[in-house]
Amino acid sequence: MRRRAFLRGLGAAAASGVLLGRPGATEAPPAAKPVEPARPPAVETNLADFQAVPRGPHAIPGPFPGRVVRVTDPRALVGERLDPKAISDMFARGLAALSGREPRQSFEQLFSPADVVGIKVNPVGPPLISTRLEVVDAIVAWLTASGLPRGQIVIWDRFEHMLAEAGFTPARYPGVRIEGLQVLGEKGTAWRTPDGRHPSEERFDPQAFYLARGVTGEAVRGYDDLEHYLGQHVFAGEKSFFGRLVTRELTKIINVPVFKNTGQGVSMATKNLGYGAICNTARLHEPLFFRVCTEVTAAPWIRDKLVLNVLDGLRGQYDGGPMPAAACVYPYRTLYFATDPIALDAVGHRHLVEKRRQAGVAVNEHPRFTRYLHDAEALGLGIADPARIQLVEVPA
Amino acid sequence: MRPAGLALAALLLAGPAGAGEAGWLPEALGSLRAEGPVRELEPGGLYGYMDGGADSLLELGFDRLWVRRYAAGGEAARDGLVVELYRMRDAPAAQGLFWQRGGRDAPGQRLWLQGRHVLVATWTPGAARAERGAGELAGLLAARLAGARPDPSLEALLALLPAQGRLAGSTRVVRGPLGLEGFYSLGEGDVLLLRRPGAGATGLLARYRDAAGRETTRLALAYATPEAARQALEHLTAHPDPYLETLERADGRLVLGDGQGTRIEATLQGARLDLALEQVAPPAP
Repeated sequence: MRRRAFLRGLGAAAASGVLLGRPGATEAPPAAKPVEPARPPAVETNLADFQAVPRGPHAIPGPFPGRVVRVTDPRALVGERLDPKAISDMFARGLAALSGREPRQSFEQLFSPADVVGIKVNPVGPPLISTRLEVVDAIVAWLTASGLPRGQIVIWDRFEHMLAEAGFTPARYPGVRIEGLQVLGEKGTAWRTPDGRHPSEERFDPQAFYLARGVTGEAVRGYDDLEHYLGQHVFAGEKSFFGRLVTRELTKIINVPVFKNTGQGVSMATKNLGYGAICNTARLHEPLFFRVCTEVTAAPWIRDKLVLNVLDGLRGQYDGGPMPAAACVYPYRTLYFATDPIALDAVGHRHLVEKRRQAGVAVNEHPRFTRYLHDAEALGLGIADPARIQLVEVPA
Repeated sequence: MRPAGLALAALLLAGPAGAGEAGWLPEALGSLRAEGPVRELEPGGLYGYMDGGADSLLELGFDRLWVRRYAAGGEAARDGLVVELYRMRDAPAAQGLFWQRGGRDAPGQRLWLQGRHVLVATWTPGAARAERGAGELAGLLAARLAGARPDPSLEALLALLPAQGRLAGSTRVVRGPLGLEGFYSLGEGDVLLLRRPGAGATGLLARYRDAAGRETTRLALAYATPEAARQALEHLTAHPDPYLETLERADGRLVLGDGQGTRIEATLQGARLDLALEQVAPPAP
């Protein structure tokens, strides 16, 4: 099958409902006796339920669908030293290039002073490849200078202990809430308290969940049994609940992922939220992986609150991700800005592939690594088609 | 491999399994002090430590991880050092992890490999005290330098592909579908039956460039038995990815193409399945 025909098949499949888990257009395999089923059964999710909820006024892709701004500044990282002033300046220029407005006007376009704004960082892999504090500093400074009280800012991630390990501490951000959806037990080393209670249970919203039918915590690699799985995952059934922080408290979200790979794909805007806003995720990796990124982002609690994405590429990582692999970390001195997370991931993927080629690392351009973005475009969540993406370059 | 890796092996082999490893991460490294006790993670704890990164480690064969964080008195995240000591299921798994994390030292990270163990020290590039702490760690290893026997399973793995012409930094260990994606997406699920209990395979993946500048990606898979290798080729023959079309098929041989100039040839030799990927024509516009 030629590539174009294959891609046409994908588009038709998306339009006909493959996004709900039915298999797409495929060739009939040649006759031969299989040793085991070649394709795992497709998974039904509750994506259609999310789509049935009317979109809010701030729903993604926001006011700038398909628009991605890239700001590169050699002053941001000189030798091994990050320059907070240069990074703050990059942030201001990127925001202006995205919105065409002054910082205060940009704020008013996306927020109101009554908002509770969650800054979703990626704290995995410190101190080398987690979201840099300097970028979050610039965001907090912009929000507060625009009139948002510090008490209405929440720096958050799925795991509270990772936030501290990555440097997001009360001492560094006085007056700003720092909160993980999931916490360790009272000794700080175990997930559950001695009486078996899970301290994180009440932090998840029983009314808000991502359903993956037939996919549970049973038989997930690495766990001896369901009880073992429950220790870390709070819940183990077909539902991954959203954090109450996301569904009940935050009114807006700023997403601040980092520029890095996960295998042959990217771990950028949609993955930061897709696997960061819900619990019970280990069960989802193998059967659904990238689908989760955009389908969770499609949930109203994310879709209608996510107003800005700032991709931290001050240092990039082109291979070995998502864990830090210093040999593949390079000074990129770049920040990306977008209200459209799909366009941002599409651009990020393309730029990461270019870097992998330059570095001599194997590149696998199978559509499976970007299909989820095209599926998201079909849902109206953003733009993945390169021909419809506007990349705005802001030089130093 | 760093010579200090030999010392690491000697140290680890000296003590009882588990306790020896946990006790090996000291309270202090130079001017750095441990922020807390050693955190020990078994396979089920890996997702809580590295989330999606856990998948590839579990596929390779993960056993235990000990982590200790060291601070220099400033901001731990900025000035500190993170030391991770991995114990993998066997030496090929450890080699795979070592390559996955870059396979060499670089600003902000030092790696050691010996036997089943990989030690990773990570800090913010330019954090001088943390870097000195990593140096202290290397010194501790060197001070106890001792000989270590080569691991036969690793030697067998490394012998699967020639060293000549191999591109630096391109070698990987493949033990499942995630690792296979570094070669090509040949099909859904475990299309090469790499993970079948008792009949799976361990493979070596690398890229080569010949004198004419032509590049080939090679994957050599060693199955448990010739029958397992034959079944793997049959399975691929029956279930190639829809992106691929069969160009040639013969006994013990299969050639696939993707319509974009990529040619993939699979050849069966006893318990071994060899795959070679070449770009034989430019991709269609």
